[in-house]
Amino acid sequence: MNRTRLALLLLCGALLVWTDRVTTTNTVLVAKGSTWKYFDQGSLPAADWNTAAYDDTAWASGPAQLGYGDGDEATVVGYGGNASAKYITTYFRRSFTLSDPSLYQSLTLNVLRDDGAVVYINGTEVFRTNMPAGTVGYGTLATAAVSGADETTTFYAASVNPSVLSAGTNLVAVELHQSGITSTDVSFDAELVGSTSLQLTRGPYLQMGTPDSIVVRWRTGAPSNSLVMYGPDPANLLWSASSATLLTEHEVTLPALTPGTRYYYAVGSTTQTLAGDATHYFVTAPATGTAQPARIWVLGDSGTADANARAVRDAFYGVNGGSTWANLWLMLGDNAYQTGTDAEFQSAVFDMYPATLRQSVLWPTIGNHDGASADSATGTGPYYDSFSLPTAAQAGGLASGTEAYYSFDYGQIHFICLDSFETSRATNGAMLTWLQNDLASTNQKWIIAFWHHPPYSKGSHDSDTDLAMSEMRQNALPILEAGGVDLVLAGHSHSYERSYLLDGHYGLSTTLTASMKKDAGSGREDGTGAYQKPAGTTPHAGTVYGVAGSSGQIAGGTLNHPAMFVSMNVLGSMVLDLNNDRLDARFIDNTAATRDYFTIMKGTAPVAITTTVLPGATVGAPYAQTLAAIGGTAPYTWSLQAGSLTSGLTLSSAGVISGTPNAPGTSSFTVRATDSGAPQQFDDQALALNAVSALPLPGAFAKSSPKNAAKNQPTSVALAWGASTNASSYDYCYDTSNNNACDGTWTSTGTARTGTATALARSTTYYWQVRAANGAGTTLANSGTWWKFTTAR
Amino acid sequence: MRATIAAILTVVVALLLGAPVQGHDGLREQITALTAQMTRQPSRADLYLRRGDLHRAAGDLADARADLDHAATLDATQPGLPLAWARLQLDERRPSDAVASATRALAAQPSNTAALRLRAQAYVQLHQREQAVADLTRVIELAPVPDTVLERARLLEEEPADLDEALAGIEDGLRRIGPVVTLQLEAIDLERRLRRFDAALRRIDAVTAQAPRKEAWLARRGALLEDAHRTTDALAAYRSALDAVNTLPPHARTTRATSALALDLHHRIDRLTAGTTRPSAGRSPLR
Repeated sequence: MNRTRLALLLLCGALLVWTDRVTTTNTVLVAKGSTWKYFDQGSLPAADWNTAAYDDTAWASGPAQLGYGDGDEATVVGYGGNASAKYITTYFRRSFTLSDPSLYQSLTLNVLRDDGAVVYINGTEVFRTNMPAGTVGYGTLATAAVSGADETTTFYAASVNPSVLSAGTNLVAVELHQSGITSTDVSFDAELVGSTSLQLTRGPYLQMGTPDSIVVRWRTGAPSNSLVMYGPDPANLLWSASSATLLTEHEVTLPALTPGTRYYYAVGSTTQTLAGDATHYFVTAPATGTAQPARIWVLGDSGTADANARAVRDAFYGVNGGSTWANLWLMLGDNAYQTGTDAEFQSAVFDMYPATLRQSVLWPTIGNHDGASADSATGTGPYYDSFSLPTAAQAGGLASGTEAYYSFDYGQIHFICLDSFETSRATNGAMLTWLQNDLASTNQKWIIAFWHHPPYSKGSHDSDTDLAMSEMRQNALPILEAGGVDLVLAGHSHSYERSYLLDGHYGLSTTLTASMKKDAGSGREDGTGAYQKPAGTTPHAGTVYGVAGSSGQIAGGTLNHPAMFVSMNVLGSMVLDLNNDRLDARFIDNTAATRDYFTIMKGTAPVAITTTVLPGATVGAPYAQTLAAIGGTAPYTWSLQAGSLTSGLTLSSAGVISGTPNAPGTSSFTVRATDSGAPQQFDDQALALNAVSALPLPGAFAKSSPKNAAKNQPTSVALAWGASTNASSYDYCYDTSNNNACDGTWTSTGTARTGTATALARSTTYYWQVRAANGAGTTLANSGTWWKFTTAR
Repeated sequence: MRATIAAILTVVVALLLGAPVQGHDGLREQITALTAQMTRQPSRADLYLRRGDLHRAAGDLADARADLDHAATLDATQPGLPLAWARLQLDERRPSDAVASATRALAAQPSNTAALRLRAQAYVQLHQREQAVADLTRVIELAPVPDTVLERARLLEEEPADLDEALAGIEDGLRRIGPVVTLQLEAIDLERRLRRFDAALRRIDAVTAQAPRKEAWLARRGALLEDAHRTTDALAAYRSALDAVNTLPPHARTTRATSALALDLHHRIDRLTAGTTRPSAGRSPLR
């Protein structure tokens, strides 16, 4: 079956069943409050304690919630009696019976745990929460202490592949770990629910949004085919995109979309809708280069999956008018603590921001904690598995060939994502070579770069002593500033720090000088004024550097980097609003209060003539050169302020020097560009223009060898000719057509006056010619007459 | 070379100021947490292995060695042990030992790209270029990324006789990864060194076709044609580059970088028009 027919069948099937949801039966296999066997003796019961073969008849039992210290336990477990050295791990088992496990397409496990837990079904680990990666033993401590609802009511959900079930008796085994031996409480309960229908376990979420396409991803508990229905409103999902491959990781590209347009969508399989309502929509990016207001949400080091991250998230939603939508959002790395495992990405990203994930395209960068389970050198690991990032310039910019670093365009903004953790930061490495070319290739008005390790910070990490931070500052910043970058965002330090408008600071913090502050003010319109930059992407016109690594936690540091206008250890995230020539940035704390703000304005800087040298002119040849200026308010009116132009040339008010020079010599003069703003501004520039006498065509010359009509020549013939005056190079051509034209190719010899006709056929007459060239044109040898020679038999 | 000098300067300046540059990333905190856990579970080899690797990353090589030694004493069959040894030995500038350890890691996992890359680095330190190239070749087969392709090519470029193989490797990388500018630039440079100007021009044309802004690439084309003594074509390329500059939107056309490029193009056109064959001195945006 070819792919087209299969797609049609899929679509027909989808249309038949899409509006008729599959009847789902959910069966509680293990209920909350169930009675569990437990072992609270301060040691590992046995190596095989989590398998069905283990005999737990000696264990105590009691109903959940099990634990101690909170007062809400149905069964109190022991901790050994020594409050300053409590047992670290308590073990739980619960069996249930199934006659036909194939009934279940998905399993959902809900676990209440204080502090960390590892869950096994029939001996297979199916969930790990708040626990380190690697081997876990009795003495392994939970990664972090939990508090609040996490201790009493919050159940963490995990999707479990139903293939772990078996017919007959099944066993759920759980080891519950304390975060410390003096922790005051322990809590445990769990629920296992089997479902006869396919279950959505991640997403949907949006990737690689462009003006005319978007990638929709989601995960299911069991393999299925993939179908996205989409359309102009939730009740009219007119179009579809699908894949027949049976997968749990679904990734479907919606093509041929209209720029700047809202689409609603639903995801599922050809037999079942998994998600899709009025909250499932996206807005395609505006056409590249067009001015459209854009709101961008920026999170750094947000991967704590805890109350801090939730508070920061909800604070943004609050200042966003209750909306969970943004034009796009960035994650600055350390998106999933502690080691960037798939389960950590699930809880820290996909379970934390589901509403925004389904509406707005997320563009992440990798942090050192994400990198603990990922490898940028091969593009593998949970970070790379979770995200679909452009490697071939699918969303603008230049192809990077890797998801580790990439660029994309959104409206008038060019975004650059770098990998400061694992990829070579050397100036001649692939990443920075690509960066240099990517910057040279963009036409966008704004450039925003982001990566994990900040070039300037005195937060929980010190940019004077951290290698990655130092190398990004020394190696990447000169390239970025030469490319005209406006804003650089990073995380890593768990603080908020924001610089002045800077340029040229690549050394230690002690080397910052006043001249490196292009604007040493606040950047606030109600303070010292917005930061002003020329229009376009002007090199070294100033960059603001932000550290926003406090979206999940705050920590330490002296917070006194001299490059920073403001530094604080406060939970929060950044909100960027870009609209044509204006960029407004805010740092919103976890109570929705604005703790910092600044503005960058473009195109309102003082007028500056950028033409500093004029190309030379030639007497008798038409000349036209347009002068250029930046800043102020275009258009500019140009005038001659001093001196005089070369005879025959004039300067128009539009800034065009044109005419035909009629005498050689150098003229010096000063031009003025006056803008059209109120009040008007101007800039003067001294220029010089040199007119030279016209270059004559190369002089007449003649071919010399072989003589015309020479016979019995070898199959490789040396060609030679005399000199032509004023020639800068020579070309020769030979062919077998007696038509006084080159039917082959002209081969340059540079300034040499010899060439070789090679691979000649025997008994064949060849025709050849030489031309002398210079900037004025070419002159053929022998007044245009082609010579010939004949090869021997 | 510039990167090396910059790195050396960083270290020197940092040492002078009493602020050692470190690859820290919270390593001390992780070491402290592991140490606390090891106090309770002193017989767990995996914990010593993990702490040893953390010590190494933090630059405490003696502590790292002690931990790995102890991990081996507790359980010499730990799967990650050979690779951890190889990393440490490479940091200790003991490349022969690093090769042996990485080889042990590869015996268990022949497709372990981290071990292959690490062994390639050790071979480079041993000046065993061919072996390093072989390992990088295998890495590229397993997981092609621009960095590895470039690293392999630059190793081959050290030997003039291997320029063709370097070029073939880049071509293979381009086929596997796609038309990535970093690889195309290296290929263009190699073609130029091999005096294969037409091939270099074809590559420049391919990059130009995919580049949103073409002026710099057209200018590069002109410079290459000048190198090939094809002045007429070079002039045409420079003029095309100027035309591309003039069709840029105003905010891009009037920047200093673009103005500098336009000025350089004017100089080149003037020079060629005047019949001067030597390139102008000084920095050019095309280089």
